[in-house]
Amino acid sequence: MNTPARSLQQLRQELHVSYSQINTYLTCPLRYQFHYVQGRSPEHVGASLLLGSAIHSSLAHYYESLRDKGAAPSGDDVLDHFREALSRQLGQVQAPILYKAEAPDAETLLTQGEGLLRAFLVDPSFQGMEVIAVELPLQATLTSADGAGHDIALIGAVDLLLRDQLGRWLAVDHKTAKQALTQEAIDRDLQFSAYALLLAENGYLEEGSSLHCAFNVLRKLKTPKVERHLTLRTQNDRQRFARVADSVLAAIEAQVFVPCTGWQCADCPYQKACADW
Amino acid sequence: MDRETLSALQALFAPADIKQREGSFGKTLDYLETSTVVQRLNEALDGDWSFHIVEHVVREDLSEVIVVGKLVAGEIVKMQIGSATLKRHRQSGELMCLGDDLKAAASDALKKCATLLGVGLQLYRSDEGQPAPSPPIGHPRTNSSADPPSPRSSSSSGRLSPKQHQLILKLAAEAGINKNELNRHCQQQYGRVVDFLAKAEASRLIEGLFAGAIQAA
Repeated sequence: MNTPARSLQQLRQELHVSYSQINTYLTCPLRYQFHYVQGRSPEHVGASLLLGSAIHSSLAHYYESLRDKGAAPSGDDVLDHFREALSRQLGQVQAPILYKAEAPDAETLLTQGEGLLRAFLVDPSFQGMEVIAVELPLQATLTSADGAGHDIALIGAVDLLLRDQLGRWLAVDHKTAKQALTQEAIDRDLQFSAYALLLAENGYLEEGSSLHCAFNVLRKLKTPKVERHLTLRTQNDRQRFARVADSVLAAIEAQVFVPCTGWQCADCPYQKACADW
Repeated sequence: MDRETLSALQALFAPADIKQREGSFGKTLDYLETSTVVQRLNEALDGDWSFHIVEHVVREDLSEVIVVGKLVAGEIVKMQIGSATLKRHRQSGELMCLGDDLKAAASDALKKCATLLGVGLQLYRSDEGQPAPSPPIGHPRTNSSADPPSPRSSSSSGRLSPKQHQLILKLAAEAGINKNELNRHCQQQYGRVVDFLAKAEASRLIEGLFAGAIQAA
């Protein structure tokens, strides 16, 4: 396998596409255009996005300590990290913050995040597995249906890469969510397919082998809880993702940017731009 | 430049002038030899043109050399990027001849600059959804390019190439312009950020950066 030579920040300096970009395009092509092509500033930023980033950062801190020191950090350490991360997120944001009823202000958001992390700390799970990488930056060449390689690379960072005693990889994605995930949605999720493609292209997976994946979901309930969902990504899933990415890139090249109306509009940070479109 | 000169530059090449080579992924690529392009420039411009290498970059880490070429014909100036793969000894990995690689990249840049004057545009038209001239009988055209074979281009509808992108960021950094400032400039000028510029817009931006017309905020 290849040791990542460049950080995600460095990889982003080159022409690239990411799972996040592809997902945005599939959710709403017009939103993709506003965000990525035109580089418009968002009209608002969802508080849940800021919370998710701060939680991600805290979980990365937890697993980095586990990897580097061989022991988990204390709960206070993780919570302090979270408070700093959220404070930084709130301080950096330039657009109005859109709070929801479940956490209507910054203070409640902080309390909600602390609750989520406390639930995680009670049961961090993945016991007995070796932490190999945290926020692992990877790059891969995308191949189109006709076998040609794209000159725009797929990039991404795997939240957490673990290895069990049999040497099998487990790619973990952290999520914060209010609703429960269905196994059907988990099995279809393209992010794991993107992870699998990135890991395979960087020598972590052999030809034809599958990748074990797990969602580490911190549920935003009155009593927060942590759920883990396992799934698998096969070579077919990797190939399917490559086809999806190829089609999305072709659509972007053709400048197909149409609005897609649905549930996603409620939190869209470009509602006014869309209405004016 | 008068219409007659432009027509002479843009005149279709005879099938015998269009060479073919095997490209990546089993495709056949059409191209013009440098001597053919030079001959066209000499004939159409009556020898009154010059070509300059403005800058060259050797990226040993990427095994690539990139040059920025400038073609001057009267008052018209066209700039483009050319590139070549660094050739290495198979066993030692040492560079074989950097000079030859630079010359190959310079030839590529010259052909690209000439394309901006319309020389050999017929090779590009089928890629851009416009009707291409009929291929010679017995030579089915599967892909056309005046360039060496390259991976499937992201830019069939004109999006900037990775090399243009790389050069823009390098020139911007040298001018003390950060990515946010560069994106703001592109948003104002072209309505999109640098990663999504069209090839022609990227060329204009490169010229502007070279000329010092774009300054750090």
